[in-house]
Formats: sequence, structure tokens, C-alpha cells
Amino acid sequence: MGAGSTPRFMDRRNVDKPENLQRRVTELEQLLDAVDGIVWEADARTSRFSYVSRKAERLLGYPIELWTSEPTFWQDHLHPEDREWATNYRCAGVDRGRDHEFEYRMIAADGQIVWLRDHVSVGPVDQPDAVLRGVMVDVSARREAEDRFARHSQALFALARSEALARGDFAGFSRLALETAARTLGVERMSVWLFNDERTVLQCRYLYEKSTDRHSSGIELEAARYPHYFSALSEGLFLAADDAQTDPNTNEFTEGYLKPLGITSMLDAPMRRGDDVIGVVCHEHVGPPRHWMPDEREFSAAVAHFFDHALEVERRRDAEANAREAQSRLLVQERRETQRVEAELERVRDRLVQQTQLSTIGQTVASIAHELRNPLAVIQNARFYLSRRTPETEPKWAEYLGIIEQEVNAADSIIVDLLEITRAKDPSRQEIDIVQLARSAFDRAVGAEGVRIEVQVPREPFLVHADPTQLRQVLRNLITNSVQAMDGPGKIVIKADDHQDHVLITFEDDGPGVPSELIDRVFEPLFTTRAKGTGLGLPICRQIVERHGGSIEVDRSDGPGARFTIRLPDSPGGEQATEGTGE
Amino acid sequence: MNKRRILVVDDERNMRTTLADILTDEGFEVSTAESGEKAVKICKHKPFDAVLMDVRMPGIDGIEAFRRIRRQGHEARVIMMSAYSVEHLIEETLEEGVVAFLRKPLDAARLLELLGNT
Repeated sequence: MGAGSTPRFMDRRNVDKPENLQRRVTELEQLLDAVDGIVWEADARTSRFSYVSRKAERLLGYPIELWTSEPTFWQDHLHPEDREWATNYRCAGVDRGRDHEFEYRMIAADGQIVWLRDHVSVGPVDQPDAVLRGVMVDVSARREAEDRFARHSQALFALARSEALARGDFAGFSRLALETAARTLGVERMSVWLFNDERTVLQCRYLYEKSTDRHSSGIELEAARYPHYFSALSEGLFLAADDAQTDPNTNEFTEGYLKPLGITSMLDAPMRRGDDVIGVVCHEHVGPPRHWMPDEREFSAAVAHFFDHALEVERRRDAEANAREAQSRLLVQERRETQRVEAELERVRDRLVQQTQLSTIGQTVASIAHELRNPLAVIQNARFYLSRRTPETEPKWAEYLGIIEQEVNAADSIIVDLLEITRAKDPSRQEIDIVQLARSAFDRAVGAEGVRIEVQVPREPFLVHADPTQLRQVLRNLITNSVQAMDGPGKIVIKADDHQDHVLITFEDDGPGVPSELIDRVFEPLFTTRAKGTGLGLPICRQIVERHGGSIEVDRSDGPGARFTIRLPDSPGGEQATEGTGE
Repeated sequence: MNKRRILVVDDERNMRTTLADILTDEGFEVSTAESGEKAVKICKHKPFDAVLMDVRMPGIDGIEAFRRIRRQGHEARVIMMSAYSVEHLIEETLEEGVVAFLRKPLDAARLLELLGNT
């Protein structure tokens, strides 16, 4: 240590001059008082202060005299939580004769807690008057910052691992984050606001008031009324207004909002998506204006970032949910469509099989049928010849010749039916009266004795657009079918009526009806429940009606009486629909 | 009074026999032929008032036979008969002079009615 660096009061050259002593002591005291810390001296065993610098009074508010007069001042004014360990720690240091440093809390005269870092120098301790000397430095500010940092970290950690954030539940996250931030920063009102698409309105999505522990939402702010605030936000500025009522960015709210609510300080952290500002997280402090510490700003920026994230997760979750929903809707639709197509295919396939059957049967039987006509023709000729020569004395001969004629005709009408299938003739339509047609079909029906027929139409004549020969055959086949089913007296009712673009013809008898399990089969070629009949009458009906662009169905009813419904298109428009199915 | 002469043409023997008997009973002088070719040949040498002709036969069919007979200048009234669907032929041959088309089995009363008008 060179001479130039030695303070005057330590200059040994003048140490023996008594006139200098008081001056030196004064200089030393001035120096000790200037230290930003309490310089002290105390008994090594009892910790009773023998000296403290002036700073002690300023720092803790107790008069210096109290420090030195009370034997256990230090112990008595330690924070209760620190008293035991701090005392023990010091004793241990003294026992080992080691210098030491430690931090503890003391209670100031005004009740405030003051954090002190005590640097203790331990002199020789083997003498009874051994002393400790040291400096207590106020580290409260650092300690508070550390505490805040710990609180902030804890809060951010809690938010980061919250369920609501992970789920993308923006509402749930908002409640949690607003409450957490309000508690952590000691802010009365916390809220999150989002811009509308045009950025002309900020809508308060969620608001939390700490003193009442109340959540609400729904307020709106219009850009037109708060241009400064909106433009500052749009620029992405982080607004920290210690005095919100005068701050140029926030004073637009002073009269209408801040004063009535007693808000003094505001901290607004922008929310972003990419480069865009999408909203703001607002901290509104009630009470004496406060200074927003840098770490508090950082905390609120971090919270705002979490809000960005929560919103994004929610957005993605919604998008995913929408996509999933759309996908499942599509799947359902697809499944329905598939079912519909399959059903349609099934139907078409059945029809095709029936039509193919009909046409194959037709081709096979046609040649047989034709060949049968030749022997029938010979029989018929022979009968005719014999009937001309039958003597009147032999009535039985005449009767039997009559039976032969009937049966030849019956056989021939079967052949007509069989041949009809192969003809597949396109209908040659004209306007025909259904009443006359029904009557003439009925008149030609075989074995219809005892059967009555009734035709009900809204007017007469009731004209339909159809091939007369073919439609007559449809009616004749239905009548034959009914006559055979009733097998005796009965009644047939044929009704015709206009509908929007078609004519509905219903055909009812009072026979036994069609058992429901057979309904799907009655139009199958060669299907018959009777010993009599070719099983071709109804398939021919269907073939003819469909060639007309119409449909024929048998009604599902388990009671007695069969009921067929024929739908015939009104106009020739139906023809196109069936083009190409005539073969 | 001269008996009216009629030629029955059919490849089925029983058909020819029964028709011949019916018509003979009705007072016709009946000849028969079992094919179209035979019919054409017969008509060359013998005049007929009417010809009753089956359509489908081995060799030339009834339509062709009818045309050849016509080409020979034979004036007989020709009635066609068929067990088959011959709708497509009816219009055309009626124009050429066929009197009627009858479907087998024949309605004999109708046949006699037609011949009565001959």
C-alpha cells in the first residue's frame, strides 16, 4: 500500500500528536457514516452493540442510542423466522473464529421488513472483551426482485402446464391466466381483448376483478373513440403507463373509464399472431399509481404470449374439430350414398335378372309355343269337322266337342301369353278410354262367370296415353289373375285418377290377397302359387307398364283382397326414360 | 253350277287332310300341296278360285310361293295362314293382293265366311 493511498486519519506520522486525535476520530466517523451500510461493533459473546454508524438510524428508524443501550437489540429486532438460525450462525462463526457473511431480516421501527447482508469480521476471540465488527448492507431491493422473480416464474410455470392451455380451451385458460396475473402482480383488473377482423373494435373477451373475484366479458371499445390508444396498440407497442390518466397513450380513457373505476396505472401487453397484433392483455391497477418494474413487464409480456398460444391452440383445435366433423359428415354421407347406390344396384340387378329370365324363357318357349299351334290347329279343324257332322241325337258329342274347343282356346291363350314376352314391342301410344278397355278385357276373360267388375273414374271417357292392345293385355292379365285367385264369385274394382304428371290406376279384388312374404316375388317370371297359370301374366304386366315408362306394384297388406297400383306417365315424356329397355 | 276350286298348301299332312275334309263338306273342290314349290307347279296347270297357304314351310315359304303364283298371272284369291307371328308381313303382302292373314289354330267359321265372299 503506497503512502498516497493512506487516509489522513491513518497517517502514523501524526499519531502521537494529541491535538490531531479528535480530528481524526471525527474524520473516521464521517467516513463510517458515509458508508451505504451500517458499520457496527459488538460484543462477540452477547452481540450487544458498542457502536453503530448513523446509517442504522436511517435504515431501520430506531435511534442509535437504542441500538447500543439495549443488550439484545440485535436479537430482539431480528425477524422472528430468522432469529434462531441467525443467532446460531453468528455464534458458530465466533466459535470458529471465522469471518462470515449472511443475510437476514430485521423489523424496522415502522414495522417494515428490511433485508440485510451482514459482513462480519471476527477478531481474536480468546479474550473476554473480544469484539465483532461488521457492515450491514440493505439488500431488500434485490431480495424483493428475487421474490418477484420466483413468484413470476411460479405463475408462468403454472400457466405453461395448465390443462386449459393444452386443450386449447381459451375461455378456461383466460380465467386461470387473468386470476393468476392479478394475484401475481397485485393488479385489481385483468382483461383480455381481441380485435375484430377490421381492427375497428376491441372486444373484451374476459375480464377479472380481483377484489370481488368476479369474471365478466362483453365490453367493446371502438377505434374511432380511442384513436391514440388503437394506433399505439396497432404498432405493437407495449404500453406501460405508470400514470395512466396523463399518459398520452391512455389518457383518452381518463374521464369515461379510469377515473370512475379508480384506475391509476395501466400495463397493456399486445397479443400477436405472426406479425399481426390481434389483441391485448390489460392490467389495470387501482390505488396509488405504481411503477411497472422491468420484470413485471416481462412477466406480462410472457402472459400475453401464453394468450396468443392459447388462442392459436383453440383455433387449431376448432379447425381440427371442424375437419373431423366435416370428415365424419362426409363419411356418413358417403355411407348413405353407398347404401343408396347398392340398393339401387340390387334393384337393377334383380330387374335385369328378371328381364333376362323373361327374355330367355321367351325365346325358348316361343319356338315351342309356335310348334304347339300346329297340332292345336289340326285338333281345332278336326273338331270343327266333327261338330258339323254331329247328329242331333248325340248331345254328349256336341258337349264334348265344345269342351275340346274351350281347351284348345285356353291352350292358345297360354301361347299368346308366352309369345307376348318375346315380342318386346314398343308401345304405340294413343288416347284410349280406360273404361272401355277394362270392359273389353273383362269380356274376353275366361272363367269370369260370377265375377262382377266395377270401373270408377272421375269422368267418362277417362283417356290415358297408352298402347291399347298392350294395356288391354295388362288389364286382362290382372283380371285373369284375380279370377283364378278368387276361384268363384267375387268383385273387381278398377279405379283411375289423375295425378300431377301421371295417371294412377288401382286394381282391387276381394280374393285372398297376396301374402306379404310373396309380394317381392309375384312379378318374377314363372312364379306362381297356383296349379293353373303360366306364371307369366304379372311379369308381362310389369314389362308392358315399364315399356310405357310407368310402374306397377302390389300393395303390402296382409288382409284379404289383392291391390295393384299402376302408374302411367301422362305425356309421352316418359318414353325417353325407358328408351333402350324395350328390347 | 261349277264347284269352286281351292288349293290347300301346308307341309303338315293332318292339316291338309282336315282342311280338305271341311272344305269338301262345304262344297269346294279341294286340291292339296305339301310345299310352296308344288303349289306353284300345280297352279301352272290348273286354275283355282282360292289358295289357302301356310306361311312357314320347308323350301320356299308361303309368301314366296304366293308371289310366284302371282307372277304366273294366276288370279286366285290367296289367304295366308300361320302359327307364327307374321305382323311384319301382313301389311306388305295385303298390298300385293293377299286377301287375309289367318292365325292358326284357324277360326274355321271365319275362314268359310271369307271363302263365301270369294
